Amino acid sequence: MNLLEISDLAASVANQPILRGIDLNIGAGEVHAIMGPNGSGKSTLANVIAGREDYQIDRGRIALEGQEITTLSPEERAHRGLFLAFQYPIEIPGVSNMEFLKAAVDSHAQANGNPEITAVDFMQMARNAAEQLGLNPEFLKRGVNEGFSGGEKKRNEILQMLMLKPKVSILDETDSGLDIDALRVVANGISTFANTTNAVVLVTHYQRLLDHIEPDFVHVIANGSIVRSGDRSLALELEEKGYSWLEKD
Amino acid sequence: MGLVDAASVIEALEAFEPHYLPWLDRRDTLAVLKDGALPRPNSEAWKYTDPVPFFDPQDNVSDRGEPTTSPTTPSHTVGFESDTVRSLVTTYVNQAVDQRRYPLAAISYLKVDCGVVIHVKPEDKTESIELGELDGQFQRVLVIVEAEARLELIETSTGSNRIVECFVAPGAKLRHRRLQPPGTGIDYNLVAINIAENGSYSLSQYSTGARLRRNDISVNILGKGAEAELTGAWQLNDALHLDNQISVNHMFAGGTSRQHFRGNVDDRAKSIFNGRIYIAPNAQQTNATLTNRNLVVSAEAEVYTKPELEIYANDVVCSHGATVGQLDTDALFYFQSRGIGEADARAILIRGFLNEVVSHADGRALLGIET
Amino acid sequence: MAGTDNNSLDGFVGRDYAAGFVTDIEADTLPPGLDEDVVRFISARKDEPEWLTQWRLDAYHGWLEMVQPDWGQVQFPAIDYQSISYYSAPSGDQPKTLDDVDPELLATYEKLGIPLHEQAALAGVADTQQRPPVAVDAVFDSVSIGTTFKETLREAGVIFCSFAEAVHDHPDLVRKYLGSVVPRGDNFFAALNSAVFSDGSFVYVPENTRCPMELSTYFRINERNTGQFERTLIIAERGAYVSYLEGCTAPMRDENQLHAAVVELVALDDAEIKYSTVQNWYPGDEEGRGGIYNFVTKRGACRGDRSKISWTQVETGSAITWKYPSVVLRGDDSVGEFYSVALTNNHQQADTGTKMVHLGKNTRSTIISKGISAGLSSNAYRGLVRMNPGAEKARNYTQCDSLLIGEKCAAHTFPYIESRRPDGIVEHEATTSRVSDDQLFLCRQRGIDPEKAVAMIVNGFCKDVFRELPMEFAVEAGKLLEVSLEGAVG
Repeated sequence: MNLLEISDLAASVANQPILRGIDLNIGAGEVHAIMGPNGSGKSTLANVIAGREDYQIDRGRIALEGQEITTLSPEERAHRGLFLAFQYPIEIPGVSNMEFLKAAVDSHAQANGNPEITAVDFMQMARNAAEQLGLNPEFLKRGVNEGFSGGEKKRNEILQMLMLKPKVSILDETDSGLDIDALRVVANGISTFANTTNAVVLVTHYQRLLDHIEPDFVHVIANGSIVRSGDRSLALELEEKGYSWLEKD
Repeated sequence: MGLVDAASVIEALEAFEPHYLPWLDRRDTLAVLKDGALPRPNSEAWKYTDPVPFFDPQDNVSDRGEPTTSPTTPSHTVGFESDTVRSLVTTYVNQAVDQRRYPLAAISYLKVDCGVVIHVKPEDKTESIELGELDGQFQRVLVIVEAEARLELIETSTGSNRIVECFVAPGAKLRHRRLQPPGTGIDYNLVAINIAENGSYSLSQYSTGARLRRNDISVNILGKGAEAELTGAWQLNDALHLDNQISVNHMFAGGTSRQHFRGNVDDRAKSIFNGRIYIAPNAQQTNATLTNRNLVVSAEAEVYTKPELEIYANDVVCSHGATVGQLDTDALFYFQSRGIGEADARAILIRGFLNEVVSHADGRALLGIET
Repeated sequence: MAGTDNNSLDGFVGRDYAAGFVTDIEADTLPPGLDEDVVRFISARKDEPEWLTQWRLDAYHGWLEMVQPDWGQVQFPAIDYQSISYYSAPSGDQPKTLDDVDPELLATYEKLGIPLHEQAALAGVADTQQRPPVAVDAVFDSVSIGTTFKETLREAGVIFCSFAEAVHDHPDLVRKYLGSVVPRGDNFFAALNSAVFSDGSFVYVPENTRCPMELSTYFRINERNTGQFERTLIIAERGAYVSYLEGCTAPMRDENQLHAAVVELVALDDAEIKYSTVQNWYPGDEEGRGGIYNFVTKRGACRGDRSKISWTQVETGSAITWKYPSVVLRGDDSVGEFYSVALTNNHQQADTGTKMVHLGKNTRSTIISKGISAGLSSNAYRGLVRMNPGAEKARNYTQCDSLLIGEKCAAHTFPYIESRRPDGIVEHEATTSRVSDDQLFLCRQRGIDPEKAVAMIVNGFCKDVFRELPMEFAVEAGKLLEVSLEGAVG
């Protein structure tokens, strides 16, 4: 059974159709890359899967581990193992990273009937994750994304992923705003996390993240539909030729 | 603060017989005044300025008799009596003025003895109009800038009572410069502006004080994309008094307002500033800011400032700030260490402080901060 | 931080105002109405000396001449002062010790999480063993029913007792300081309080004494149609330090009830008073029925040089809150602080803030105000900073932030700045923000439900103020915010 199944998904924003029938199957142990030019609908797809309320689903279905999730709230989807790394992580002034992470981790445990993690274990886990991403533990005490650099915000998203251990992670333009070293650290974090029981979806405009994480499948979105799917050679082709040759189809 | 004797004010107004523009409908205005619009004891609007001299019924009954026509010559400026503008007056007058909030404007309307209409259409290609002193005690100026038209209005006044009403139509642009030289009497001014969709109004106001001077400014943002930018600077010396009361009212979503006022207060002068930002329910996506900064450079000067926010919509970005302070002693010392005498150093620092909001040479001249 | 402990939070996610129960106890309650006889009755009932009876009567006569002020950004129907009962006390003799207190009353405070047994500390705290004890004075309707840790405090020379006791046991101190900060005729509600005040707390910390524990008064309105008019007086002698906490609750009732207290603080040279309030009077129901009118006069006098008075308040309750804890900075180098969180939801209205009056040289004041409006509520900050001619080099900094939750609430800011000093510095800044959809979505994508997310965001917004609260109250304040915000997100 596929972890995530999307069939004939059409969605609009403010009555403006953006997605026009997307089909996508993602199995356990797979890394997918979704590529496409700006405005093609990549971010919309990511947000619709996560259940953002200002996006209207016009038709189609999204199933996580065989169960329809389109009517679930964002937090219910999260509890079932769906994770979205945001393209523009929002600031929450005054709320510390630690506090935020603990609330998130606890909500998952509670929703899934798991025992609550002890404060000591939690701290240890958070420190380890921070270390893995090259973040000073002091970072955990700062307000969520408050005054973070672009790179720190993106690393923070990956930190949250490592803590929540989702089944399907959709990483929306996680490579943007990262310098070469940060990109390597982030990519390394993602690669270490990916295993045979989960799946990672990389939404990106550029090839450069894919130099570090090899996707099993590459899909190209243009004008709200997947116009081409293939293996990683497709990404290389795109790098060479750009997107315009696809959009003409 | 003294008490305004409402009964005698009303009595005098009822006895008043207008000679100028007798055809104006004055009934509603009188009703508003009778219905409690006059300042009550402890009135918030008159907390730091004594209202009594402004509402003196004796002073208010003076009747100039003969109507005044256009005192200036630009083709767009005509007296109220002209047939061509009578309909404009009837259509527009008091549409931007909340008479309940501004009872002095209401009294001025009842007793108007001098009027000017400025009406600009896009094809007029008007560069600018200068409006100087007018020959009347209760002056009324109507400025109508039609859709997509633009106008620069340069106004100089020490007049005792002037109400300027501006209408900025969709896409129109009005740049308004006001110069207020020192006065010796009791001055009252109201500028009331309605700004329609994508209209833009900017005010540059350069003031000194009078024995008592009150500037009321009321801006209504009435359409999406409407913009108001208000800047002002004042220099108060001797025992001059200046009371600025500003209200920017966002009545519609998607408007922007920026206010920045600075004053330097010396000698025994008294500066009062009240800047209100009002955001009506549903006026979402409003962006509004206000800054008021004051310098006090004398032990006997007084500064009262109150920036106010009144917000009834949540998706807005609003902020205000106010400071009262003195010249930076480190900066003074730095100047002195470079051989600049204290008096000169002070003058330079004050000039620098005010210059942030002064962008016209005539403004600098009035405030005495030319380089 | 309060918001992180899920287990303890969940206990508070009940739908109702948790303190809304009524204690069924026999009470001696005066019939409604106010005249000279009522004033004399209260005074006689407390066996007061003649000077105090006269003081009350003078206040009463002054009050008769006054009119209720109407300048607040609040709206409510006219109060009929003759329909209120001005005295209510549990029946029977005044208990001599805590052991004499009616078990029903002890149970009430236990239910509210306020222990009147000396071995316990404030409730809501998991590791009570590690917390220092808190001395509590419990005021039930018009009278104090008991004060804990009196002996421990007495050893340190600290007097902590009910106001009525202080009148008998320390008449000179009471006579010297009563009305010296808030005069009888200060304002309409202070005058009313001066005429009919029933009980309250009295604290005296002698010279160079650091009060060995936190002091706390817990106010409870129980009886129907009564007003609560307590009077608190705290005196810190030279070099003394005291931290005082105040908490308040009332049953849920459909009619409005008036609470018009007066709090006076006096700090002499080098003394410091830290006064914290967590105000959770019944706020009324979702339709705006019922709730407390909280019209309180609180003022501190920094009389001594280098003295310091700090007000910290967390206001979540009351149908209407109308109060301005203030500091008169008379001593040179004295310091005034005001830290406030005011949250309004449903139909609540708040017009609250502070006054900092700078008289002495080098006086400094800081104001941090966080207003949160949700539902159909209205929340106004009103503050005054005045630099008088003698306040050489005085300084003030004010930061005033509003957070709006939902489209139908209102937030207002009215800061008055009055400066007559060429060398003073006053700085005021204010901002508004809202809980944005983007913030909510981020939290929800991480699995946090919307109500918890809003509570967490609001807690973060208030952090600068919570930091100033004693630990026990910081925890309680965080929980209160969460409960008070229920239903604020759709």
